[in-house]
Amino acid sequence: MNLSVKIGTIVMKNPVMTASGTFGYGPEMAEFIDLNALGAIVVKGISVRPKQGNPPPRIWETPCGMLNSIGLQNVGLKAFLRDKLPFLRKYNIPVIVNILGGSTEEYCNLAEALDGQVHGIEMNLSCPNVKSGGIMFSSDRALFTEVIREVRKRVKRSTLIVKLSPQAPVRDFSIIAEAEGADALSLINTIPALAIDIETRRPRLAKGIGGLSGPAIKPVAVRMVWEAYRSVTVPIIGMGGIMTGEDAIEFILAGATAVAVGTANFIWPDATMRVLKGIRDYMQSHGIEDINSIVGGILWEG
Amino acid sequence: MTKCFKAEVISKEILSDRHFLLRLFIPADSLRPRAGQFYLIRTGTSYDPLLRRPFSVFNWDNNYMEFLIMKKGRGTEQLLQVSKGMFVDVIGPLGRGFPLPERGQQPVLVGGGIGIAPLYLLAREIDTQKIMLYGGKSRDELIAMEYIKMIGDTELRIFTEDGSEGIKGTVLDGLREVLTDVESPVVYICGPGQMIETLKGLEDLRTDEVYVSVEERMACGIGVCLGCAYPTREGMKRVCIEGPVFKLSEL
Repeated sequence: MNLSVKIGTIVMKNPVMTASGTFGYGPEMAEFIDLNALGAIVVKGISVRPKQGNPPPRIWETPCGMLNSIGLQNVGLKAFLRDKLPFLRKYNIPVIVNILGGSTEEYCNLAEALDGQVHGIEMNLSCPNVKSGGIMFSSDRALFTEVIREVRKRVKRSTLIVKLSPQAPVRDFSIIAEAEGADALSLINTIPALAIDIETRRPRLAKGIGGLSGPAIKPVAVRMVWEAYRSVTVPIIGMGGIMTGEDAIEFILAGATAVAVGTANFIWPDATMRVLKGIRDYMQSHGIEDINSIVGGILWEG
Repeated sequence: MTKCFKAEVISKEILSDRHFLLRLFIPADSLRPRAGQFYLIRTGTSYDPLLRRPFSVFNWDNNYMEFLIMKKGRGTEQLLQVSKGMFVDVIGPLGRGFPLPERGQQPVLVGGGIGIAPLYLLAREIDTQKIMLYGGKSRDELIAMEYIKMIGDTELRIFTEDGSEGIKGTVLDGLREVLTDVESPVVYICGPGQMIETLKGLEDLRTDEVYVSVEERMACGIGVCLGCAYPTREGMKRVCIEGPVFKLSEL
């Protein structure tokens, strides 16, 4: 049975990755699972400088999902390279770093510093651009195009992955990302959402709007992966509410080459291993020799 | 030693219309908890509610542990449905508990409402004389009294805001009074968020040895989601890893 997949130049022993922001920088999870069994690890998003994040409350449970507004809390580039990366290098798995910037220059600085240091760089573009009054990179065509183009020039050795927001038109933005040189796409990021305390009439989260994740968003994510798959030829990393191997297979049939497990890590620290086992079981029971043979295997032309 | 396990329900004791005591078997190969540490519990296979719920340990012995639970929302309502012989999904012990008193220190335990849960275990762990202040808005918030009265070597003082039981006032009023009397106290506190906020505003507690167990909404409980961040003097700390017990002077 072949579970090995390729994302850009990254060869993964299986298609199961972690979603950024749901797996820390590794050590916390190493107590619960063998990190070497993962296809790849995607660490918490890194910005040039450390970020304190938002005040609490930062999370709120919703039906079959959760809202979060962590505020991109992270240790910053310098501390990541010095304190976090050496731990991950001890493992025999590809390391992908999610990067966050407030400007094109910041994305470029992060990309330059990380290129060749890690296997992959995933651009989280759901960040406001400070210079253009807070417009998101992920939803403005011109900003999106420019930031990928500039980062691409600086990423020469690592695989460059562009993470798509569910707020932007998937087809158009997938095509732009591919045209600007992305080696792979990952989708979806959380969906902006709001929950209100009807007693106080205030939002449930200190910051108001949060990102919705978990099983509640899975069908939206599967549809978007399917749309992206029909629009581009680069590999796609699918994510959004994957709890089981069956969920992962759904994403693969929609067109994902690899899958990332996110919110499920919060419920079962070994969620990635459960998903991997579920994929194996499905392949076994359906006589599938190579996982790559069912990528985009949905029997529907659309 | 495993931190993730299925635990069989031994019993569920109803203490009031909102409170119950859940008793679970602890597998032989699991770690034993310290007072102030917590477990994440999940029951059923549904995705709704999705997340585990954190509970501090009320008590444990060789092969069982107990959680004092207040029905608050959908998660705790679901837990109230479990019955003897069922299995629940458990992760723990997690977080940092209360440090035990040093020789010569006078332990003072201060609990508000359901906040009594970790203090009951702490009181049992401390084998010297201690003072325990327990309070609520009214007498129906004073739960598990039959258990608390049985703790040995304890001077118990009860407070209610409406005077329906014990002394009329809050446990923090009681604490101030105690602190004027005792030599080298070490204070352990667990209560609702409002009580902790009031505590932070109190000036001159006459001691730096004050440990507070705080609460924040939590998803993973193992340090990766950063949902339970709590503001401290040294920036945001995770309640699940650096807490839930913090020194008051850190907050």
